[in-house]
Amino acid sequence: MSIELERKQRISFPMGILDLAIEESTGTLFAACMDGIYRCVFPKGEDAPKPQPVKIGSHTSYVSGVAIRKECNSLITASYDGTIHYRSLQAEPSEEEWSPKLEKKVHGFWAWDMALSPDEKWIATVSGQYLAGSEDYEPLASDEPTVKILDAATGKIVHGMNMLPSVHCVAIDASSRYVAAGNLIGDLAVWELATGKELARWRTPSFSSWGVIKSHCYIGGIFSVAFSPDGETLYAAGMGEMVDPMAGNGKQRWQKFAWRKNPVEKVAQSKDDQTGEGLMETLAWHPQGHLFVMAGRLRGGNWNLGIFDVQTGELVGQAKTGMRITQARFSQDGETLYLAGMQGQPQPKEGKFPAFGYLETYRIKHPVA
Amino acid sequence: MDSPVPQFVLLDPCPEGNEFKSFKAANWAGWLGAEYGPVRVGGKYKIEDTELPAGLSDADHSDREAVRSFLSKKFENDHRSAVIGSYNAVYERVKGLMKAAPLFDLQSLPEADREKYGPGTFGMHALLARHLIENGSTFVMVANGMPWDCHVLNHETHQMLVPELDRVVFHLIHDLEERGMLDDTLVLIMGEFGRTPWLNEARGRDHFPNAWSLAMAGCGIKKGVVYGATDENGMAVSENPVDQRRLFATIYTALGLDPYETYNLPDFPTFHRVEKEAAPIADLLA
Repeated sequence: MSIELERKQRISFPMGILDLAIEESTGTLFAACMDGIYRCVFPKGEDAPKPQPVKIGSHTSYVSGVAIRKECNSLITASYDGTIHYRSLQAEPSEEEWSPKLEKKVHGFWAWDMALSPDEKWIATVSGQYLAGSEDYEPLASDEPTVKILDAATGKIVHGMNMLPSVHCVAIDASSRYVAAGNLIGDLAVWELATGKELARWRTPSFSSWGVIKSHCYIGGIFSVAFSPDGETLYAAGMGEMVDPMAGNGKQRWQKFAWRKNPVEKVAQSKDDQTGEGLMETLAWHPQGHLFVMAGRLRGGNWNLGIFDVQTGELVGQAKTGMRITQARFSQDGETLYLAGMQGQPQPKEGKFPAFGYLETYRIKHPVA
Repeated sequence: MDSPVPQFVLLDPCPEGNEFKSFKAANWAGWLGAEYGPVRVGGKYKIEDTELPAGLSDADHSDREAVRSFLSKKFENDHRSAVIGSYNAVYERVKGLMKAAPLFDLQSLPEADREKYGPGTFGMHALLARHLIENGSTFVMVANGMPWDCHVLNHETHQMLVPELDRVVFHLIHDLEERGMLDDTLVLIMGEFGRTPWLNEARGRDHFPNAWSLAMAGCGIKKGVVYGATDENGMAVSENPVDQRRLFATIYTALGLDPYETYNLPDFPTFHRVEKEAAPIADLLA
């Protein structure tokens, strides 16, 4: 099986995109960007004009997460300012800046990532500041919980769980029962959403670097987690160990864990002869559940977006996009892949920084039987 | 050379075993000769292998050293080599280090101090720097530059580095002041260039020499002065640019040293500490 990708659109944003939320019924996409929240409406039709992103709001720092809560027609965002915002999606389209109807301080430090449960009952956010906890810079335990579960209807914090900082990524399973997170040092854990009870915790050493050459501290870690559609396994993505942490040349890597086993068992891993170098930041499942995508930055090799067969773990499709990918999302029919990210920020021209955030859409070209 | 207190010490978390090993082992003292280079210490905080082997008496050790010294000096004279002279100077340095080793034992310092500065290597080295200065060293360099070389994952690394630097520098300056040493000690916090105001694709910031800053505190320096400025985006110096000559003229002047002293070494042109036309920054000097 070999799957090809055909790029259909490339839309530029002023700054890098860190997360995406898509409302397919209205052809509307919301982007969490370094400089705020953007709305982008995709006009229907082959000859429709190119969508133009419009800034609809901001936090006081990077916007790291965005989700649509259809039940109450709300847009929820999380930010490096440690807050979450709720905005009404019923705002007039002409109104450029949509004021939040709810602002909630959730973390004392950056909210690195956010997830909304598919049943829209729960929000999970992760945080944690990496501070030296030992002579060799193991992370210091946080004073406050680094994983928090909120009641999505009210924004009220209902559970707080601990994981060593910094906790970079969080995911909720398809049944809205479990939440998982991953951190700088390779810790992974799964909790029950309703109770906050910890169900599994383990550490993988395969994603973190300790600066043998340059930096006697930890760098890297797990940057994306995702449950398989059946919820039985958890995938983690990032990059492998770097000898020189400032080179960013670790192996593009995912690992698959049977998290219900005791002890947790690593059951599969990306194959080194199919991967290049660079930090992988996102995992996305095809709606049919037979494929998943891992994407991020290309430091060396042939691709920065890989499509993998779930059964075999083999690389079955790839793309070199020319930008660092921070988020990948399939359309509901699985025919379109949305990619968000950024290129390196260009130097300013005439006092202004040129745009460097990008949203790309790809058509999935399945193999002919 | 055999001073029980080394005058120039470089505390480096990675003293060896990295891609810069050859660079770090190079002659940092330039024309002056390797004997003026720093004593490099790092990693385990102690100077290793400075005790006599079991069974070797002080008298035996002294006799062996006399023989080695005689033969080495003869070899140096026969070959008229400055390099060999530098090599022999290392032995003199070892004698000093053997006497100085207890100074580098962090465990001998109060636990409260170690907790205050620690637990990371940088803080431990800053504490050791305080201790060395307190005991007579004249120049201690605490290296922590490599973690700041954030070509990748800038924010992810800075979340740790910035508060650590802030905390450690606060304790160092506060302790020096409390001990009555700040009026005689210049604390200089700097790198050799800044970082790009823009992010690269690897979430990092690359080298940027066009506009950057440093901090000074202590002897000869006015408190609370900000000198110079950049434009809004940090792209260029917009006010009071300072080059390296004026910086070093300021440092020498603050320390009470003549910035314009010259050195005449055999077979070399006259070496100036700072060229005459470079004036110290008067606004910064107390």
